[in-house]
Amino acid sequence: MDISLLDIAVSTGVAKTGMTIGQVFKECVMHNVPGIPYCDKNNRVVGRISIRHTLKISSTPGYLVGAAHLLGDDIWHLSTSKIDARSLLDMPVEKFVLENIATVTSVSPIVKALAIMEKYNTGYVFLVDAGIYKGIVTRMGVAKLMLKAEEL
Amino acid sequence: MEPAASSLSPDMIIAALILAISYILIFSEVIHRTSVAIIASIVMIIVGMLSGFYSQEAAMAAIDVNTLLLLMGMMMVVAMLRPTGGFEYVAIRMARMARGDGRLLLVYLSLVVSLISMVLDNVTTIIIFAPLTVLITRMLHLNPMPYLVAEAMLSNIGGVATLVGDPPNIMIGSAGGISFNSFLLHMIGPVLISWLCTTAMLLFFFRDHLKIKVSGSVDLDESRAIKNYPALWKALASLALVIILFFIHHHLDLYPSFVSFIGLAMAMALLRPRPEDLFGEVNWSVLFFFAGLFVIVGGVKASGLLDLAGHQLAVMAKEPDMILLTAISLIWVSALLSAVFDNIPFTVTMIPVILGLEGQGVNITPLWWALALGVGVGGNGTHIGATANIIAVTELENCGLSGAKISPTQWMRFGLPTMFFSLIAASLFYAVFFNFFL
Repeated sequence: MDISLLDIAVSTGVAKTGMTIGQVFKECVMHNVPGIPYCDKNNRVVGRISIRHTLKISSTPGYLVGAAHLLGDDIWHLSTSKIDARSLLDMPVEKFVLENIATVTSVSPIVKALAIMEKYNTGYVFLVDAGIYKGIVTRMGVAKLMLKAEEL
Repeated sequence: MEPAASSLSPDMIIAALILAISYILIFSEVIHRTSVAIIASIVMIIVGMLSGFYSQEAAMAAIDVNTLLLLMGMMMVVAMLRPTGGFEYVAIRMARMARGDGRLLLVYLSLVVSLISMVLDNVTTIIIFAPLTVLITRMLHLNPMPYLVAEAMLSNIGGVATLVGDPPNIMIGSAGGISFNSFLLHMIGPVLISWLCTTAMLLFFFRDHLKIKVSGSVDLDESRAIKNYPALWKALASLALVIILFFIHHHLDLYPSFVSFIGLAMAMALLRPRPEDLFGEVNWSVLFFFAGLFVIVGGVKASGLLDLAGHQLAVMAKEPDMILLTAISLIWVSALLSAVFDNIPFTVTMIPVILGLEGQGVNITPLWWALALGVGVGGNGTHIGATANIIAVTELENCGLSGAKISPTQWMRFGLPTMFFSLIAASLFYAVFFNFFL
């Protein structure tokens, strides 16, 4: 597959200081991506906001995860454990920034992007050239590309 | 045995300095305790070799291999039992048996944790039970704090009862050549008294939390807890063999560590785990921490300092009338120090001191029980007194429930009275039945 990652990268907005989790979720949902980069005032990628991580630390305490296979369905009162949905969406993004970021460049081969996703147990990787964010590469994007190549 | 020196020598001062610096670093947690133990043990050997009071051979001999192998063997047996889901099953059954009574729930959960802690590592037990307890109490609209505190404190006490229940006991049993049965027979009385006192105190302290009428139900399916029934039975059969052999190991001339490895071998044959996974479950950091401490204290002993300290103690303990006072003092000093500091370094240091007393005509048998009792019960005084306490505090912090968190001061508010009360009761029992401990 001799195709640039730029061809399958999804261009999204970025999270910045002052934004809320609600705004980040909107951006993720609009582009169907699991997370977006967190940039400083010079537009350099310094972190990321992930839907999975945000929901994990806000709404899925460890004691629930450990016993997930034992849970019945009558546990509605446990869903409001930490914070409700409204207050989560109004929260500033800073509290949810992850500092570990997996990146590739536009000249990286797809196999490198897949290897990095595998290594960091994630479904996406940011495409960053010279510190500037260009888009997000997901496994779904790679799968779409493979199907497209087969059709041709 | 050479007569103990009557005054401090330069070797003793050097060894004492290395010991003091390493213990300060361990307790201050500036550097990881295992790193400190390894670095300080190497320094002790090198300095000891240069000064001529310690050697590589003496350092190797100072390591209590029986203790390390027993811990390692039990860690691996637990590692095979843990993923079967048996612990989760028991926790849910206990919650159902309590029938919505907050006080009964506390007693049942703590009792199970205590009983398991008598044969398995109580830290592992608390790691498994703590998140489940939070979940169960959340389902019942109860504050998990009293339950986790009770589980931690009572598992600490439960562990004191047996030779394998607590690392200090393993060390004491190994150094004193005490059998599993003898340990259990001597410790069960004071432990039972301490357990009952602690439970009564906790039920009193947390009465407002526990008398709340429970409104929810435990919506957990215990039938889904056990993921692999054959694996559970095989692991339990291996553990049963270990426990049976512990009861008769002294008749068969088997080291406790060898017993644990017989159970481990059986579990490995029946369960066929991947050795890489199994060895990955061993807490090597703890084992190397202990090994390092043995080498450091071995150096201090080789310098003659511990014999000198023991000589001073022997003057008092040699008198038949004073041995009870010495033992009671040891219980309280051990307990107070263990409430503030890690009890392992203290135990490792005291063992050669007590062994040294034997050579000076002191009956050291009652001192072993006093040491085990003191370091075991003392850990309940503060949140840092025992690893199980730290796990309980951390779980309460991480569960994200307002009102569940417990500060160090809050812990001390009921930890210290509970510790004192149970120590008084245990000391009284020890004093009244002192002839039994001789």
